[in-house]
Amino acid sequence: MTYEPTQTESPDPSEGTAPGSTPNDNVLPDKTGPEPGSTTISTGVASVLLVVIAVCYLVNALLLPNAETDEGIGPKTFPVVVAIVLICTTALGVLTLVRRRVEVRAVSATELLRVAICVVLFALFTASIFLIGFAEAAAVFSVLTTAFVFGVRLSLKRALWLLVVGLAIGLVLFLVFDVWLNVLLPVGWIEYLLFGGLNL
Amino acid sequence: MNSWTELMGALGSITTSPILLLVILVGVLLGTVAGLLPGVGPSTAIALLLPVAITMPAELSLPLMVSLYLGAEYGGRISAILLNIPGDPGAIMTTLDGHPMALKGKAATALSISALASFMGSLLAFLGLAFIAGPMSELGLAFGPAAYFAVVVMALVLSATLVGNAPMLGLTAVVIGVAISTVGIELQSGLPRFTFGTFTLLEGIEPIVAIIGVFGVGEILASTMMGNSGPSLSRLSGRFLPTKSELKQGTLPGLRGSVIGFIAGVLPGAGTTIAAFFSYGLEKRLAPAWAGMGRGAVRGLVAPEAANNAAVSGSMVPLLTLGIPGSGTTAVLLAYLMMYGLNPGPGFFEANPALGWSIIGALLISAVLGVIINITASPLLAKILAIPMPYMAPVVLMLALISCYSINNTATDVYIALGFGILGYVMRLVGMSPALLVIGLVLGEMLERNLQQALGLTGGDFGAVISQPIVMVFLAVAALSLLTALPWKRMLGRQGAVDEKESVSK
Repeated sequence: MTYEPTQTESPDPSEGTAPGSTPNDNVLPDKTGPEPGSTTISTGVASVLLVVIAVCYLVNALLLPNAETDEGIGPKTFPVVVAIVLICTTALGVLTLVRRRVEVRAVSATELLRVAICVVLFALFTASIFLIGFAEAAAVFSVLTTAFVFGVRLSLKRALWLLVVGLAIGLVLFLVFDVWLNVLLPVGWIEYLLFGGLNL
Repeated sequence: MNSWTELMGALGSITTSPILLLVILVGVLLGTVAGLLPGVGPSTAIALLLPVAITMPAELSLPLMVSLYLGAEYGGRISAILLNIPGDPGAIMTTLDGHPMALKGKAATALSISALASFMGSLLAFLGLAFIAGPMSELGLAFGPAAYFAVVVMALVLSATLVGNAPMLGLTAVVIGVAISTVGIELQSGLPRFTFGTFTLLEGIEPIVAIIGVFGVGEILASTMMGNSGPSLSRLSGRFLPTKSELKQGTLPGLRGSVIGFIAGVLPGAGTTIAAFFSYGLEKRLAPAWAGMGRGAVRGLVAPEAANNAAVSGSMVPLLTLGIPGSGTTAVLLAYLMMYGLNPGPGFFEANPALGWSIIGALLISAVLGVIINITASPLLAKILAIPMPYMAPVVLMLALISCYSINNTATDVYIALGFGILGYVMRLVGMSPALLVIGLVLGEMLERNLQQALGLTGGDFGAVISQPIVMVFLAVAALSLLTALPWKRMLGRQGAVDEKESVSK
C-alpha cells in the first residue's frame, strides 16, 4: 500500500486547494472561498477516458490485417492479446474506482475549466510560434497562462511587466536552444533583429 | 576484479576530464533544483533536457542524466523538510520526521543530517552497484528471447503491483503503455498499425514525447489550483552541523535504509518511493516509543533519505544489465539510451564498457558533489521554493514545447505530448502513476520483439516457449506478485459473509 502524491494533492482533498496556497492568495476562487471538489467528477472523467481508450484500442486491433506466417505471429495477434488484457484490467480498474476502493483526488468544476483553458492555450501557443515567432508567442502565453489558468488578477501595469519578463525568458530560451544548441525554433521579428542580424 | 579495474579507469577518466566534471556538477545542481521544486521531479527534468542532450555525445549526456537523477533525490528533501511537501515522490516519507524537526526550530540541522544520510545511501548503493553490475550483466547474457520475454512480463507485473495503491489501475496504466508501443510499422511484416492513415505515426510514438506529456504537461495541468503567493517556508533555524549524538542516532538507520533502498531499487519499477516507504516502516517497527517517530526523530529522517538515494543506484542495476527500468525515471533513461541506438541489457557492458562504467562512476562523483552542494547551498536553494507556480508553470510549458519540437522539428509531436498531458492529468486524479505508463511504453516493444523471436525459435509453439524452466520461474514470480496484490481478504471476507448469511438462513 503506497501512495504517490503530486504537489497538487492537498492534505484534505475535499478542500480543493493545493498545499502552498494561503487565504491571502490573489487567486480568483479564493475570493468566494475554496470551491468544494468532487471525487465523483474525478472518478467519472477517469472511468470514461479509460473505457474509451480500451474500447478504441480493441476495435482497431481487431481491424488489423491478419498476416500470420510460419516465421511469426504477424501484426495482429500481439495487439489483440494486449487489447483483451486491457479490457479486463480496465473493467476491474473502473470497478475499483466506482466502488471507491482507491483514494481519488477531488476535482472542482473550476479546476476542470482551468485545465481546459490550459490545454487550449498550450495548443494555440504551439500554433502561434509559426505565425509570430517563439519568443513573442511565449510572452503572450505566459501572461495568459498566469491570468486565466492560475486565476491571478493582473493590473495592466503588472500584465505588461509579465509580458516583458515572458519575452525575456522566451529570448533567453531562443538564445540557448536555437543559437547555441541548434534547435531550429521559429523566428519572429524580435529574434531576427536581436540574433539574426548578428549572424549567430 | 575486472569490473573494479574498469570502474577505477572510468573514475580516473571522469576526474581528469574537466568537461565531464562540469557536466556532472551541472547535472547535480539542476537535479537538486528539479527535486526541490514540487511538480518538476527527476523524470520531468530529464525529459525536458532532451534538446540539450541531443546536441551532446552519449558519453556526456548520460552522466548528465544520472547525476541529475541523484541530485533530484538530494533536492526532494529540502521542500519536504521546509514546506512539508515532498519535492519528488521519493521524499514523501522525509516529511514525516523532517518537517516536525523544522517546526521544532531545527530546520538547518534536519537539512544537514538528511544531506549526510543521502550521501551515505548513495555511497553504499554505489558500492553495491559496482559489485553486482558485472556478474548480473554476465547472467543476462545467458538469457534467450523466451527468458527475456518472461523477465519483461515479470518487470511489468511487479511495477504495476508495487507502485500505487490499486494493482488493477496500475496494470491498466502499464497495459496502456504497452498498447501505445504497438503504434507504427510492425517490424516483422512491415505493416502499419494504429496509424489512421497518417504518415506521422508510421514511426510510432516517440517515448520521449509521451514522457514529456505525462510528466511535464500533466504535472502542470494538475497544478492549476496552486496559489499565487509563494508557499510558507519554515525558518532555517538551529545548528547547521549535527551533534555527535544525532550522528550516532542516524548511523544504523542510515545503513539499514541504504540496504533496503538498494534492494528496492533493483526491483523492477519499485524505485525511490517504495524504498523510502519500506525503510521508514522498518525504523518505525524497530524504534522504541521514546524515539518519537513522526515527531522529528533523527532515525525517521535518516532512513528514508538514505533509502531514496540508494534506490537510484539500485535502479541502475536492472537498467544497465537487463535493459529493465528499476524506476519511472530509469524508464526515461532507457528511452534516452534507445534514442542513442544503445541497447541496455545483456551485452551492454561488453559493447560499451567505457560508457557503462562511466555512468556508474558518475553516480559516485554526483554523490560527492551532491553532499557538498546540499550542505553548503541549502539555504540558497531553499529560496527557489518561493517562486509561485503561476509564474513557473509557463516556463515549464515553454521547455516542454521546445523539447517535443526539437525531436523532429514538427508541431505534431507537441500536440501528441499535449494529449499525453491530458492522460497524465486524469491518471493523477485517480492515483494511477504516470511512471507505469512510461514503463509499459518503453518495455512494450521489447516484450513483442522477444515474444516473436521466441516463437520463431519454437516454430510458433507458445507452450514450448513458456515451458522452459527459467521462463516458468519468472512467470511464476509475476503470477505470485499479481495474486498477492489482489484484495483477497476483502473478497474472501465478502464471500465469508455471504456463506455465513446462507448458513444462518438455512
